[in-house]
Amino acid sequence: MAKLPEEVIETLESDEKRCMLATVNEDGSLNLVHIGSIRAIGDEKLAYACCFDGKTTRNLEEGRKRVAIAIWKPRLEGFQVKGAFQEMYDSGELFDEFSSRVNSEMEMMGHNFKVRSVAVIKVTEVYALTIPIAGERMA
Amino acid sequence: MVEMPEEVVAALADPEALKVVATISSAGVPNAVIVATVYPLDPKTIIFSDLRLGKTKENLFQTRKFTVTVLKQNLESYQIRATFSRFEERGNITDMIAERVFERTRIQPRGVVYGAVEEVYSASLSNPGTRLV
Repeated sequence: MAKLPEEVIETLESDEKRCMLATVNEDGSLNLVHIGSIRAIGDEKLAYACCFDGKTTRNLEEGRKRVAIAIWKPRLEGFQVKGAFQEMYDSGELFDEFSSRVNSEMEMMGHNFKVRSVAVIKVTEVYALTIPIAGERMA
Repeated sequence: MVEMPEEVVAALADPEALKVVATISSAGVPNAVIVATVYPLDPKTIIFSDLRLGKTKENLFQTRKFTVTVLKQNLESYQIRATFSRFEERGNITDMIAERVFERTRIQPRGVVYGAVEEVYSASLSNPGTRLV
């Protein structure tokens, strides 16, 4: 387990950030998708809303738990968080919190998706992605 | 090897779009980094420069698989799965790309990664996960 540095947590709270989550497919190829709802839960975990039964959710539920998340902070900063899928919640406080926020955001964007579950990721490593320190381990 | 649809080529060529490259180590650990130099050389080939590629390059030589996802400012997004074909330090195209990248970044690339496009998916919220090619 690693702790998220303060600047990574702050970036995750920003509406301007963009995050892409990589998971491992059955054949060893990578699935890489934009996830808008990622945020920090304390300083050792991340959570995001799963709104449809896609490849990302299937990869995690089938036991390929390793993930990598690229986080872009406009315009020239970035971080990579590596982690392991811990748990999926389809009820409870965390689920309700994400549902109320993400469902209304989806509606505002004109999409019919609703939060089906919330995935929690345990942080294991954090790296800088900003040149010239790209690749340096932060945690 | 397949051809990317026109809209995907255009998204990859958009300098304002966010481009992330994911690779995997031989131990099965994924890696995801922002690579602004990703570019469609032609509809079947993706290239990007080595400005400071560490783990990404190591993984490419180990497992040869990579995925690029591009996200435009309007949130239109595509996922391109590719196979690493070669890393070139010098060559006509590589030198030309290196020159362009240097003009933009003031960093001299160490070479260019070439990849063959294998599969293309929509990653937009309007049709997530739909295979395009």
